[in-house]
Amino acid sequence: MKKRGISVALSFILLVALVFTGCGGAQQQEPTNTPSVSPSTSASPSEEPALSGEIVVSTLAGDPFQSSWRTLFDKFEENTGVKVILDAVPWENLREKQALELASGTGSYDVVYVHPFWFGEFTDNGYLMPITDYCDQATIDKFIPGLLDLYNRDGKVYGLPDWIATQILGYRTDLFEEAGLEAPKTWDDILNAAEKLANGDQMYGITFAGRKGGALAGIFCTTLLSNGSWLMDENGNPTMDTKEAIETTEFLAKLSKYAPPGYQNFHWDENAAVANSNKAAMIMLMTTNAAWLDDPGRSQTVGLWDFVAINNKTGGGMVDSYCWSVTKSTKNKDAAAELVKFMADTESQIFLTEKCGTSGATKAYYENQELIKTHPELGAMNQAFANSKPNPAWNTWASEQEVLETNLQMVFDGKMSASEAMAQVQAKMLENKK
Amino acid sequence: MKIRRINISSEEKRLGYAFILPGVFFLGFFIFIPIIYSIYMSLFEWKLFDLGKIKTFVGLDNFIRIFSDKVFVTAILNTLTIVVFCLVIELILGFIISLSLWNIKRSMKVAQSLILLPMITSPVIVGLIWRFIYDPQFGIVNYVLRNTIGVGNIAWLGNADTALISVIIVDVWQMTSFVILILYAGMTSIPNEYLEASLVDGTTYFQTVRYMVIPSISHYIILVLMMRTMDLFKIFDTVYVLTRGGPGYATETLSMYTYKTSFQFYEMGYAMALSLVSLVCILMISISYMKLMKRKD
Repeated sequence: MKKRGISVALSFILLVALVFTGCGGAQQQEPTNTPSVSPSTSASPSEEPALSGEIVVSTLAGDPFQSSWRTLFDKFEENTGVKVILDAVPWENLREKQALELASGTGSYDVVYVHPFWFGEFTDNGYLMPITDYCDQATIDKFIPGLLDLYNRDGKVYGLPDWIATQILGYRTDLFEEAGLEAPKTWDDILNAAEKLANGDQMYGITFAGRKGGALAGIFCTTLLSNGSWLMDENGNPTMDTKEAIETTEFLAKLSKYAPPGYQNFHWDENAAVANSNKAAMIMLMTTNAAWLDDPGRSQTVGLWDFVAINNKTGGGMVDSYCWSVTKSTKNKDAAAELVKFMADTESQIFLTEKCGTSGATKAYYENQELIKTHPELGAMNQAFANSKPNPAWNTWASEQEVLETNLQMVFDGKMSASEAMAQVQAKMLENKK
Repeated sequence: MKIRRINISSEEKRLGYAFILPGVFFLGFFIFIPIIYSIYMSLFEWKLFDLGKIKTFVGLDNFIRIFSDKVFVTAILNTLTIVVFCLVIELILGFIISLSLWNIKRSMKVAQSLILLPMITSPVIVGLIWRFIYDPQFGIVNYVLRNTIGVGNIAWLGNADTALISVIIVDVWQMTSFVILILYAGMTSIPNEYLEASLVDGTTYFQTVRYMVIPSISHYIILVLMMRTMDLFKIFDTVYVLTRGGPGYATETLSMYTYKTSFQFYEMGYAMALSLVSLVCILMISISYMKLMKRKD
């Protein structure tokens, strides 16, 4: 009887220990810059792991991301005992590979890395598990609501965001100081600074990626947000022929006069190369590229940049991102859920910022002063999140984007008026809506 | 002369059919069935993401739409411009270089290998290399121009006026070697006796080239023209890497537009109609060249 009592007491203590270990995920950890992160919900290595088995994670292929994720997966394996198999495929094939595996319903993927382009398709087909099935309210509250909302479908959130990026404005602090200019707060400030600081071939007022294929549309969308408008209204009706959209086009056309030659064929890398070579006073860039400007290996302008959200009537930012999602067909839900929480957690995201230049989605991430000191673009991102919209992901956007970008280039070249350009985009969107 | 027929037993005939059967099967499976299926699917309006849904039958609407599509007109004009300019320049340059190599008469293995380098390089790599070469700020073309004639930063690929000509230059750089390869092979097949006879007759060098070399390699010229025309009509990868069809629609080609329509805009029915138009154009060109070749015979 006595022995039985001891056994019961020991079992109770073990159970309590397990419960506390399991709840660790809800506790916020102090973010650090060190890559040696540990999963927020893991047991300490000395204890018996609460989770077991193996999980298969589907992500895109390519470094530095793939190797950084592998490092985090190894840490997760070490702390939980769960084996993580990474199935990385090129971005172009990621959607179809994931869709094929998930449609079969065999549970071959436990965690998928989902882009907004196919997020709607996956939720509509019931491939993803709502986060409320594995995250408590405390975990959910750790995330910036607007970013979590990017993965909201019909009132349910299906993934924890990661790889947050938006378009911001970078400006040369030394040149602005010399010219007695302050950080641009409106479009007029940007135009005024571009005009004042431009100096022929020696220094361009601004540089931005004007190439078709998404970069130019991204800049337009963020600039449009800063003018207090968006591509559609709340009812899903296109709003491209509005005063705000036409003003945005006209503003970008004026700004393009201060851009370097060839900017219409610049993607983000060529755009940054101009700024890095001390040839641009301002730059519109993706936040994921901001680290390039401070990389001594590629930049002549290290330490000379500061960043603000693109502002006019308001700050704005069209947010690009991915999310970590647990699949509905997973056979190891607990381990998959822990991995998703671990990957989106502040500490893992800080590690990924250092390694890959991507940003996280938790509040603690953007409040981390140490991190903001080394990554000044985060402050600008935080401003942009006040008025953010997700990267358009509806099925017909690609054809609308093509018309938008082509027309913008024509307006920049003076071959089309802003109102005509936007009227055509509006017509295309209406046609597609039908 | 009466041609004597070889007697083939029915068993040998069966064996012969058995040998060609796998080839015919693969040809049918991979070429004819997809073409027939494309023709059928071009009669529907359907999106790539609507795989499971019922497709709307629209008859010839997709083909009628082509005639009122301004982007298609621009794309076909750009494609024809590329075809004509590239063919003319590549043929002239290729002929001059192969003639020079042929005149040297020595084994030019190193030179031949070097000449072939651009052709054997992947078009994507070629596109990336030329993006650097054309870079307005850091590219070697502008560097040389700036330091020789003092011309500033030309936006080769970023300006609607220069983008198409820049694409043509890249193709000429890459594919002239193909023309050289074929024409040089043609020239080496000219019997020495002909040359000696022309020398004895006292012809000038240009007369030799005009009345002996060119007629002797005319089949090779037609072959090269046919292959290059077909290739240029389908030009895609170089344009995709260099400009993606921009700025505006300045370098939009038929293949580029078909690709965008299918895999970016997901309008599969219309994209198939566009593909079939390309196919018909290429077929007509090929048949014309083949007829020309027969006439030469």
